[in-house]
Amino acid sequence: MSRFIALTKVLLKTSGESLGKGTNKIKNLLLTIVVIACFIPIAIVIGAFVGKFYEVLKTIGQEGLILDMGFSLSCAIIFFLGIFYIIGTFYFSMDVENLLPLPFRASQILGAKLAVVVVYEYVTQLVIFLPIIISYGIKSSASALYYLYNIVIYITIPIIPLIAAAILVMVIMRFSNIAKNKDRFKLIGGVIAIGIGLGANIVLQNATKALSDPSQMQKIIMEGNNSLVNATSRLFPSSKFATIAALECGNLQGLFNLIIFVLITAIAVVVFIILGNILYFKGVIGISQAATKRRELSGEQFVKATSQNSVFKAYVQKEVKLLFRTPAYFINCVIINFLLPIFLLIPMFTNVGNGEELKMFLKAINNPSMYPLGLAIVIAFIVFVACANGITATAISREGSNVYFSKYVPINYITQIMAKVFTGFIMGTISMIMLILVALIIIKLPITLIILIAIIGLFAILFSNFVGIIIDLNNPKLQWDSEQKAVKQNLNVLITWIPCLAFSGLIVFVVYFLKLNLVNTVILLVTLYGLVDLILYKLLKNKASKFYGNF
Amino acid sequence: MIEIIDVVKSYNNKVNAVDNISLNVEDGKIFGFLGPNGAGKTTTIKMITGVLNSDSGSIKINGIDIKGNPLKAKEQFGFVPDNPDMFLRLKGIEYLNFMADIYNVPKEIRKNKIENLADRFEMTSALGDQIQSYSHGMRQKIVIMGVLIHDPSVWILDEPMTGLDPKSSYTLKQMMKEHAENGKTVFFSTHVLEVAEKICDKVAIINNGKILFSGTLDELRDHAKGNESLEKMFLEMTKNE
Repeated sequence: MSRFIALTKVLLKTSGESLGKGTNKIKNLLLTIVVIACFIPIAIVIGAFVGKFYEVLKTIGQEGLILDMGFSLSCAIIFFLGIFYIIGTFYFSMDVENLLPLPFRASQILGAKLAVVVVYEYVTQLVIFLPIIISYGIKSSASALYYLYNIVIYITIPIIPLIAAAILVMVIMRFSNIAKNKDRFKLIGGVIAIGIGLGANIVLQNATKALSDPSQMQKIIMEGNNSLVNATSRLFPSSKFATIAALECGNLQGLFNLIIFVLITAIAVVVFIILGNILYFKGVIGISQAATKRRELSGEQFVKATSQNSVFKAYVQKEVKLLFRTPAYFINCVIINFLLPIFLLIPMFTNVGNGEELKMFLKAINNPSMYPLGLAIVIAFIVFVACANGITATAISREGSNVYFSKYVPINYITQIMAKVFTGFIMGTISMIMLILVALIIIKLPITLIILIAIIGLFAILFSNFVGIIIDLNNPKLQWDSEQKAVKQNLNVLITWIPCLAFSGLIVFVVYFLKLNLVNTVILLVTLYGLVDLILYKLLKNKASKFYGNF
Repeated sequence: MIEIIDVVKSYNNKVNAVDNISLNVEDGKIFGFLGPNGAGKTTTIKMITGVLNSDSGSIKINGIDIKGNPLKAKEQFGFVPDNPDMFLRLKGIEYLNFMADIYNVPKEIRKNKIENLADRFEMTSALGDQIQSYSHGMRQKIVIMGVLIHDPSVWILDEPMTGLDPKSSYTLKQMMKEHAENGKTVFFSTHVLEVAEKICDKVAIINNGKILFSGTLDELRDHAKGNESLEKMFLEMTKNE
């Protein structure tokens, strides 16, 4: 046990280094505060929404649905985010190589790593889970016992979805590790795990639709007394016990359900440890071994491999190759470009119900009077997606201890930086194309609008990229021991979102309040994004020479 | 040619990692930069290559100031850093071609050059594999090859022998000799005196950021007899690694 605790402590310390530690403590502290402050509005919005929702549901005696949805939604989000976290901390984080020679049992390493991921999820829960609990508690003037039970639930709830994610990932990695080219199979394994996670969410969403038989639904609602809680389906059925525990905290039934919930969680941990002992080491030992052919290149291959390129092109190629070949970068910076548009698809297909409703909904958005606002929103969304891949926001961080390479090669700093920006620009453009394809399929927008989106989108992507790299130049995270930490546990990705969303959101508001027509909206968007790109480029030039000059 | 004049570098404005050093590395010579761990060797090399800025003093490579005209100065030298773990996910050949692109090596020349270097370092069969799969010594070799591909007139190598097997180490030393014989400059750091004794025309000894001695090895031996701190240093470096 003491080894487990010691290891957990060390892993937590080494993973949390982006917060608080580093050369500039005050700067880091301020950044942390800013990030937290930016999430407070989200929490408040969720809280306020829950409050309103409570009043509506209370009238039909179904207010318990809020907790039910809150818990099962949290589980689904934790499960999905968990897949990324687990792949990262269990497999891509190379500290395993240093731990293997030490006298740890597999379960101790696994347990400590799971504990680290659970702690991450506690932080995630602060934004989603906590406001729901508190808002519901206030609205229902809940007793102290309600809060006490919810503390227990808060602590235990992420464990089951995370274990589910961990088992899924461990099984896939166990078998992909057989392959010779570990990197490629780590990539494929990661993609499969994400695909299954995504699939599970879609299936679940469809399962809730089974309830859409109106007469049956009505009957259940009429029963009142939170009868709907028992009727909904969930990805993780165990969360029902948590819901009932919180709802019935005043009587024995609540306590009983809480105990069951904690017990199920405990059983899950035991299952995890047993499976982990079987699966984990087999999947992780030798994972960093690289494939080798040790075969001479043929004359043709050699000629092809030694073609001459411009410095800029060579640099971009290098960046792209590293992004695609490094599993941690591929999962976090490349895959996400394809995933986000799919995320957009799921609610379209599952939530809008039957074909008739879908048609009405599409008709409502596909209306020329909606185009100006729609255009501004889509552009804001493109900004959001381009930020999400974090390619430029981690471009300097990813160099890690090799950052000095940029200094001794005879290439202008701004050329190097622009090559990094261009890499982000390419990937951002790919995700925009994905988005447009989705839009074409579902909404069938007119071609002129699509062209407008594509052109203005390029300005918007550049804007995201510039903001990202300026933020990374300002405070790059260069000390890391696994590539995962350079991209996943890097606050710069989050920080990039703040100015980007603020700016693009502001434009949406301007278009909305001034009720601009399409022509004026286009002029506004092109001018503002074009102007801000220009300003940021100037700023970037300054920032780049300052960053590299001040080693 | 490398000229280092009155260079100072301090960390936190308190301790001088490099304390007012001056060196003159002439053309046609192999210059060994000696000192124990933490003496200031890497800091000095980082300043020569433009990785670190000096607080004061000037550094010129082939007469070009590294601070005044950095791009031009950087074209003059090839630098092998002490840690070869770079671009691990590029294949050997991709890394070499990337370096050739950076230094604008024409296509016809680069192909010959790569074949030649790969042959001499026995890396031909490894070029198609990712650097990640290389051993430490092979990584060291590919980085050295990447540097030599553009035929820089000044070679700057930070602990280049570390991790090389005897044969590769011999090859590198041979190449260093050839380079110097062609009237070009080789500047390398080491903490092993033995290495320096074998190939250096001149050496400088640095400890605690100060140059204790600069001259030929024979001069060093004479000098060390009457100089206690230098003698101590000499002993430290002749001890087994």
